[in-house]
Amino acid sequence: MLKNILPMRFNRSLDFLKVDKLSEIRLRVGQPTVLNYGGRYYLGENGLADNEQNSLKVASQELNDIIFRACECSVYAHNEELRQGYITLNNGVRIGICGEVVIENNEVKTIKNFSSVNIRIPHEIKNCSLNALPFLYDESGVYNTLVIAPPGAGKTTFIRDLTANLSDKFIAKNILVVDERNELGAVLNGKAGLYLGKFADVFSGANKQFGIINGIRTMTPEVIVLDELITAQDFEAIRYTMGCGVKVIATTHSKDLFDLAHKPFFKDLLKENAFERFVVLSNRRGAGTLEGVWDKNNTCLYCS
Amino acid sequence: MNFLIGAILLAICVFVGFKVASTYKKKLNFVTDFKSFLNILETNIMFTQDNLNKILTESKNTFHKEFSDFLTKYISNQQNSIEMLNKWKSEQNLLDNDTAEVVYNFMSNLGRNDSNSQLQAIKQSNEFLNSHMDKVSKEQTKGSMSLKLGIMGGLALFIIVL
Repeated sequence: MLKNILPMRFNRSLDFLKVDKLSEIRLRVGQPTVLNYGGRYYLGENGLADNEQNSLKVASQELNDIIFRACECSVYAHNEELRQGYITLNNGVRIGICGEVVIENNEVKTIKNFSSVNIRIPHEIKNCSLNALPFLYDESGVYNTLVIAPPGAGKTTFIRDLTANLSDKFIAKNILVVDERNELGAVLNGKAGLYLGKFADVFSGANKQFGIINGIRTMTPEVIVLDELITAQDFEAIRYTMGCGVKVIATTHSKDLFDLAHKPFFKDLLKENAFERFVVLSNRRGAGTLEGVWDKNNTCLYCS
Repeated sequence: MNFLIGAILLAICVFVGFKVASTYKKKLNFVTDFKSFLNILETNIMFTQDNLNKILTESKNTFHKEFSDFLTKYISNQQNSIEMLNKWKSEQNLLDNDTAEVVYNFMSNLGRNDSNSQLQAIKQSNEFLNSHMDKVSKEQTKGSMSLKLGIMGGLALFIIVL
């Protein structure tokens, strides 16, 4: 899929690399292409480049073509995603987009004159959540859990694996995945491209409010899994879910519990002890390093 | 012998008249189909937001051969359509330059814009075509006159030769 959207010269260069090691490609108009290939590297003509000068540089038209192809030649059909600054490909690859934001009546209309893209390639790391898993449930069920990590530290990979493990472990539990950006399940034609377990239902492309309200009504879930809590609406949706007696597993960007307490909207949730478990991930020993699991009283249950 | 020559001349005149008429007819078909295509696109962009490939594939068989062939070529070169459109523009002799330019500009930017800009582009192309339709329809009457002229001229020659 990645090959279908990148310019030929980039594809030729990527042929020299192992795609399963590649987690990010950053393209900025006229600037060196940077890869996350188990570390930061430049992309040269034949794979990795030693320095900036030998790196491939994307032209403005090439960047437009990448977005055009990523939108399956129909940019207008991806308006809503573009407004939010990303496009998700069918296999869960997410393309973050930067450019000129068009605002009309205080609302973002679209992004035009694209200047850079960040292509993030999802990876399934089987059982990466196993160390944390025993602390996230007891005989009465799954705890309301918040996974905390800075950007690119493997939150999505972690909750994908956690969902799969929980789903396979508790056969009787119905798990609903509200996959707003289609990153968790990469669902295409009703079939999940990335494994979420045998007993998970996926609402892909739906915003969290829609997914939660309709999911609770129709799919009677016992656990709801969501990625990236950001807006006030997300927090309202979380409160609604918890009020319905449904457990929540969610993620958010933050370095640790201390930083989290200073983030908007979280202060109240923390005061209310809405979340019973906190899983902290970092990049310390590579993406997905489990720093620890804390309970609502700030007691470390698992520390690495 | 004279009868045979007369018949050949008649056939040639009718054929030339028919050819001229069919060129005008093809042009009218292409322009009306392009207009219908714009309307289909507008409806889809406003309501279904289907991908271009789906819209093109589903609609191409509803058009006359000229436009359907053009769309088929476009679909198979969708990701690198500029090259195909440049070739089409330089080789085509069906449309006048202005109309060809409008088709070229619209198709080369098709799918590259957000929905508002795409709808705006449809509106602009439609406005041009609306102002152009009278001319194309008049040309169509020229086409049927050419066919009649061909037949009459052929018959006249046939009689003279006889």
